[in-house]
Amino acid sequence: MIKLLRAEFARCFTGKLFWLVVLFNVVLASSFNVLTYATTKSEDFSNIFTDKTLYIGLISMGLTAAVFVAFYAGSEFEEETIRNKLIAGNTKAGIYICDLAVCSAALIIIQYLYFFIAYAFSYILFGALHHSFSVMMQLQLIGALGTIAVTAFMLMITMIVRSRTIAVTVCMIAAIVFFIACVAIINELEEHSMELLDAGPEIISAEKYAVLDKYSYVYGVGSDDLFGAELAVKEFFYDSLLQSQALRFSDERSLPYHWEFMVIYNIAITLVTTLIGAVTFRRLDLK
Amino acid sequence: MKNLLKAEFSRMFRSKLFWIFMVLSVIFCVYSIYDDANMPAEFRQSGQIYGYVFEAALYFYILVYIFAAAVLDSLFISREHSDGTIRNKIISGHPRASVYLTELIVCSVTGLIMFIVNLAIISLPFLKFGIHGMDGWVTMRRIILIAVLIIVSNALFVLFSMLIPSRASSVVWSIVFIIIMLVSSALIQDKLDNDSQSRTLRERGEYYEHSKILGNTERKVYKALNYILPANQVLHTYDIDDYLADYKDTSEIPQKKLNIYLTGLCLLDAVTFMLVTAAGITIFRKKDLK
Repeated sequence: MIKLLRAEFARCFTGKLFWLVVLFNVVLASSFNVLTYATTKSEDFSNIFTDKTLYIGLISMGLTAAVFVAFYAGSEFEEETIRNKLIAGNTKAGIYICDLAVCSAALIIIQYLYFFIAYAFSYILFGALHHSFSVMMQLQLIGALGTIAVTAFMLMITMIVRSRTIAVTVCMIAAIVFFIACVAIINELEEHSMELLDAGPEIISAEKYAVLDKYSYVYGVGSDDLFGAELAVKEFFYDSLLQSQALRFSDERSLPYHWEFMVIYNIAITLVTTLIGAVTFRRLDLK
Repeated sequence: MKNLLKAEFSRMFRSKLFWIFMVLSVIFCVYSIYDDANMPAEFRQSGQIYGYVFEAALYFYILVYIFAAAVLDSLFISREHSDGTIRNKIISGHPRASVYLTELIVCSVTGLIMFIVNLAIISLPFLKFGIHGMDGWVTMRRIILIAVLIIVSNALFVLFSMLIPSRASSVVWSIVFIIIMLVSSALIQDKLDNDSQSRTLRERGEYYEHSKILGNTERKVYKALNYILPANQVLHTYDIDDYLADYKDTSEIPQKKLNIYLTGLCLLDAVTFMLVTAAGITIFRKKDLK
């Protein structure tokens, strides 16, 4: 498996795909700050805080992962490389884990590259940021776990579908749908917490009200419009979806409330999707 | 070209892809109506409230359609590249321009058929609720603009699909393009909204952020882009009359004038369509089809 890993890393970093995605992210990372700089009057620079641009890389990671994983792993089916690897003595599980390791490593490199380029441009052009650097690095670490989770999900789809074209279509649509769902869920839960704040101690305990007041959200407290299983599912997506995590990172100055659950969900999603993907891939007949 | 059109229409209507998208489109329409059915009973009888759902369904349809068109056009047309069918058509004597225009016509007509089916389904509840309370002129303008935007968006995606032979790459470029266009539209709209709000606050003598007020030239450029870019028009199908009237009081503007503004917008879209198609045909003529 070590030889396979070496070969896969070499294929990844010498191929056009990785460098094209890197280039796209470099352009994206620099463009928001450069555009803001170009369209802002010079006397107003000290009032500009571009912290939110630092997390756009994570917000767009769903699409990035969809394209990268579908092209990288999907191409192996069209070029029949997987069958050759099996003939050479590698196991299907080994091939799957290698692809996951390589795609995750590549996407984490892209994630951090985006962050450091956006940080450099923000700092050089505008100076101060709201977030401290140590907090940003902690958030990026949580984001890296989210990147692995997204990669595992996209790889599961690609390995089941076994066609680069269908994989890229399904994965990109999934990334867009997840993003729209994130925005809708965040808006709905914000309205829900406003309702709870207005209702006050009538429907929630003083302890939970204090949490709500401090963090602008409290988990597990239903209202007339949102309660029970529906609330639980939406809170799960609120914590587990990478785009939701990234949108919350950009709003907070410290680690977001419930960040431990984000870590747990990221690890759990990685394990579950890898298990499903690896088991399904093992049973597939590769003609 | 007639034979080419017949063959392409036949291929489209027999393809699984078309029927998958048609079924998804019907499910989307039924969901839009189901949303209304979940309203509290005291609101359900009102045609005005269903009119609101109808307008929202139209808006969300065009938003979803541009993504569906990106995928459908890319997969439908790129298959011809991978199968070598395009080369065979050219070898059999069809000019490249005819091949290009055939794909464009088939994709645009397919889009319009899907829109008509959508319109028919979301109009069904009017049989129960009646159409009192609905402004027919606004709805008509919205429907016309959406139809024009369907044709323009197909022109853009046919351009990508005809020039990018790889199916997967064609899908990626089309979807990334539409996302970039929508994000740019949102940023342009944000700039204009901030400018308008800051100017209003300044006139009232209240506190405003000086950085949000645009210069005269800047404002003209952003406004021009707001009207020219198809993605901006898509976002504004919801408040179409305010958009056409440049956010002046529409109660003081006669319907005829709003219709003239709409005609101007459609002419802009026609120019976009012709430029995109001309560029596509020119590049396709010089493309080496391996």
